[in-house]
Amino acid sequence: MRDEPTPLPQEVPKELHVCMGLNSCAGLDASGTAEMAGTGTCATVFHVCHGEGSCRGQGGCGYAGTDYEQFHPGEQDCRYNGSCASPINESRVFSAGPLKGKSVWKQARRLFEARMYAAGKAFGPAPGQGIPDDRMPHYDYMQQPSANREPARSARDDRE
Amino acid sequence: MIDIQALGADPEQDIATVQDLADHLKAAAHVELSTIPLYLYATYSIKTRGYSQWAAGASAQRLMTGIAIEEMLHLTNVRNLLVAIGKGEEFRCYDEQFIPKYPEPMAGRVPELMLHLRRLSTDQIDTFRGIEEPEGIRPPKPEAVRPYLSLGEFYRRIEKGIRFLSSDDAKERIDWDQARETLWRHQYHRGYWNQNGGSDGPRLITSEDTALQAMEVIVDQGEGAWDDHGYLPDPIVRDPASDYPPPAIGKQQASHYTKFTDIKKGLNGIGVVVDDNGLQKFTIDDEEVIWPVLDDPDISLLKDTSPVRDLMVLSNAVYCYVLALLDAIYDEPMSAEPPSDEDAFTTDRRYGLERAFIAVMQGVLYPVADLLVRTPLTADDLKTPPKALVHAGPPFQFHQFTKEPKAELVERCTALLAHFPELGGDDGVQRQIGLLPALPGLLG
Repeated sequence: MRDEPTPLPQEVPKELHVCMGLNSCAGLDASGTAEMAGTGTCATVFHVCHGEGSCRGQGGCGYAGTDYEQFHPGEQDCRYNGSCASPINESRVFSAGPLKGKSVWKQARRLFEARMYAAGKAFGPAPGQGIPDDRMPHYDYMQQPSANREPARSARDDRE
Repeated sequence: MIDIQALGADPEQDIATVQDLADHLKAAAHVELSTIPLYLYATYSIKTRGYSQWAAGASAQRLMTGIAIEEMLHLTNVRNLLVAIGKGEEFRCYDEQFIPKYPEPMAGRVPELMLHLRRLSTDQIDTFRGIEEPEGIRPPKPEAVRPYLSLGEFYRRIEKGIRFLSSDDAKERIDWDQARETLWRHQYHRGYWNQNGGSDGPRLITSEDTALQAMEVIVDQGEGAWDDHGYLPDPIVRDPASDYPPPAIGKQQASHYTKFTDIKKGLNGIGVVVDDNGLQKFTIDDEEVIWPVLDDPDISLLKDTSPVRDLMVLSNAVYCYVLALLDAIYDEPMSAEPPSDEDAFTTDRRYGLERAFIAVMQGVLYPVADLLVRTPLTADDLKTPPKALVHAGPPFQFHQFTKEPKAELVERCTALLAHFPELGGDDGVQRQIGLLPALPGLLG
């Protein structure tokens, strides 16, 4: 048997949600230490953009997406259906839809609370309203450009 | 392939030094910035908020929003190139000399084209089409060397300069090694989305090729390449490592000129509401669907006692904060160290500035502008009483901060809450301003 590296906690999530305060039960947050629903400290899924969620409920919303998509952060029906990056940063607002200019995290929390009320489950206060803006997910890390990399081709070249 | 020898011998070679190229790029940046308030102002004047496919104006509104965002992309590409050639520190967006003052003629263009902040209308769309006019529509004037007939001609001069200054014939060459090794970190690359526009994003400029591609995106998106009849492959620049969509069957995007023409024709107009004869009930000239906003709004038109004037001043301050924040982003280099811990995040000031930049445009600039265009001006507001119904609008003027910009925004917003309570609440403009980063270095 090969000696595999130990996965980070967020690589083996027990539940998929897009930000802090959205875990549906104790211990289902990113670190596995939340004492009750709604108190988790971070997302359990990470992806960079629109339509990249690989399961239902993974759309962070706010930067792109249709009016309908953007209204449902963390509540998409199926994979690839979500809108925008996860986790949700605290200053992120909707770029379209009925809540244009309003907080994405607040809407995600409203939808979460509605689900919890419907299920008759208790939940606790969120530790914040999204991750701080200066917390950079590693998918947005930049690398030094390489001199050897083949330069990108332009469509104009195709026409000429 | 480009014949460098022929370029060097060309008597009409305009750009011969890196400084000359930088001066052209600064002029280009001014032209690009001068279009953004123009397009945003017309977009804000459309009454719909576009929640429904049946909303009158949603089609034109989305098209206009996408165009305005692409103009921001063009400004970014121009500034990235300025950084790449080592002249980034000569340029500031938050600069009274750089910020356009409306009405003003489009810089360097012949014949003159006056730019006014006006509501969406057929006349204004004709102005927009004039800005994005393709080469060849008007005959060239041989005596016009430094001015330009179209933006395409102007950028072609810049492209020619990039090629020359990258060649062995130039006495002073662009230092692309420096761009690739250090200066790339000061360019803007992340944090760009445009669901209503083309797929191209800000180019990281580190070579002659990437510089030319960045200029090509500007010209092709704006007026269209001279042989493409207004429709372009999307994206314009493809990455061979992920060549999607394939060139032969790739999707297309219309140039700005074509999009404006479609709005004028009603093809992407003000809606699909039709009368009994099957004709559209509303056009872009109808006040039922367009707010009657002021032409060229200016805070000097309003009385000092008017709270609407204070709201317009807040709008100017937010606009200038956006520009100053952009300067702060370019000052702060991107991290290039690999993640070193097991946390899923790295704390990064530059990343925080980029997130705030997107958030302030969507969560502060837009809501304040939206509030202005919905606010009628009365004899209590205007120094000259209005003869017909007229609404306020965002003036997009230079604002001189008298204290740290975020602190001033907080103060101005708080003072307006009594007159405009919608700015407050737990999910309003006031909250968003509270999340913005301070810019302490701005006042020197």
